[in-house]
Amino acid sequence: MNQPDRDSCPRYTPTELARFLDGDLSPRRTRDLLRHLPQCPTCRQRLREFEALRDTLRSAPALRLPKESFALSPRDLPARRKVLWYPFLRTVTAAVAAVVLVFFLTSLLVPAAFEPAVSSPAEEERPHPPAVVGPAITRRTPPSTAGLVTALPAHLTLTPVLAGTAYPSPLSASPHTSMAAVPQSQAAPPGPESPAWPLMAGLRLGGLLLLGLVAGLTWLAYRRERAFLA
Amino acid sequence: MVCAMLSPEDEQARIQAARNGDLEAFNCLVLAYQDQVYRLAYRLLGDVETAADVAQETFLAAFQHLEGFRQGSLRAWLLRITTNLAYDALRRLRTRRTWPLSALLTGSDSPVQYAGGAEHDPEAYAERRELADEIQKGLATLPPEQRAALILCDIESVPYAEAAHALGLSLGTLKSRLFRGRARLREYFLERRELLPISLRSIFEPHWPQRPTAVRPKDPTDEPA
Repeated sequence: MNQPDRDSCPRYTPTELARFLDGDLSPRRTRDLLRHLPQCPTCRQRLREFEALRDTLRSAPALRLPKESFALSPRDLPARRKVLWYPFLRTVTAAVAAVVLVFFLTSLLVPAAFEPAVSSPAEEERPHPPAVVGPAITRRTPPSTAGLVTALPAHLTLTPVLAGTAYPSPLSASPHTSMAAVPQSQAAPPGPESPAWPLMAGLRLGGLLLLGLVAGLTWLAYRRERAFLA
Repeated sequence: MVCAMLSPEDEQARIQAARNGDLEAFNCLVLAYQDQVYRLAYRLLGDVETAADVAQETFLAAFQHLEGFRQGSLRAWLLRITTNLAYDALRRLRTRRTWPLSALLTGSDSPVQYAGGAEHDPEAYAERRELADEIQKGLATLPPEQRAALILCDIESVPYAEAAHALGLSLGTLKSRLFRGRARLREYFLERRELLPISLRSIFEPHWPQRPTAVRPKDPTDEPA
């Protein structure tokens, strides 16, 4: 019994033939196939199979319901209409996310708003950690070394990264290892030597984590509501 | 309230009444769509009891969330709920592993009933049942998304746009899944053509006779009588 070699035609995949039957193949590809079909018994047989499969599925026997009907009775319903918490949670988490985002962006753009007061006279008495790497820089000139320091050009403000450690060092009293860095502005971001730095870093990290948490809750609430969206 | 065949206007009136808590009006909608909902659930799951649970949950959820249906096809909205609930049930069945999923999906042990009068023509009913079981076995080998596309478009004859909406897909994605599903189903039947019932086997064996008692095809070397 000779049968066409079923899967030997490489030019048209079964999926393409299924598309062709539905009129979903591109016009150019359709023209090519129509020219190809008279010479290819494999593709003709495949098309017959797809047609027959489609007809078979369309005429699949109807199922009988396992019970008379799925109509609801009053006892099927909960005692009171279930309160949908998803929209409420979505609103709350979106509002919290907005507040956190504003706080976070503000802390980045307007750091002065979060900066503890600097260069007040009382601050002079506070111990501050000087730099010990290379030309050590301190924010304020210790009164005892005022005469021996070399003022930096105004535009050179050493960043906390270059300034070295944040802890008091025995060298702090040595005048030749410290120079005064003219504080450019009181709005410089808190460096590692600033007592506010760990607090600010912690606040920002906490803000990011909280943002991630509320984003996750918002996504969860959206997913739960998804089934009932029109 | 008598539930006659629902015109679009009737349906809108029932939906509005149901939104206001009229359970009787909602049950008219249930009667109109329960066959399609149950058929989709059964063909996705292959188990009568689970399909019945999913169908019942569909209507319960629909009644409680009717404000979520704004416009468009009520059928597509209901079938979307059914599909999502069926997918959830499939995931639970996979993780629970309390019974073999393959046995569940072939429907070979399910007491599913088919319409068509087993009492009047038992032989025809048996053939129809055998065919339906083979179709169900074939569907069970498809990924759920392809299975759902085939059920809606090829078995339930839902228009493509409506089926795409019911499955939450773009039209292009729906068609892609549909055509790949058809190709895959064809492969399944091709590999098992010797085991297929006669009505299906003749498709995949082009020279197989339609009935076992068919006359042998004439041999061209036969002498004329």
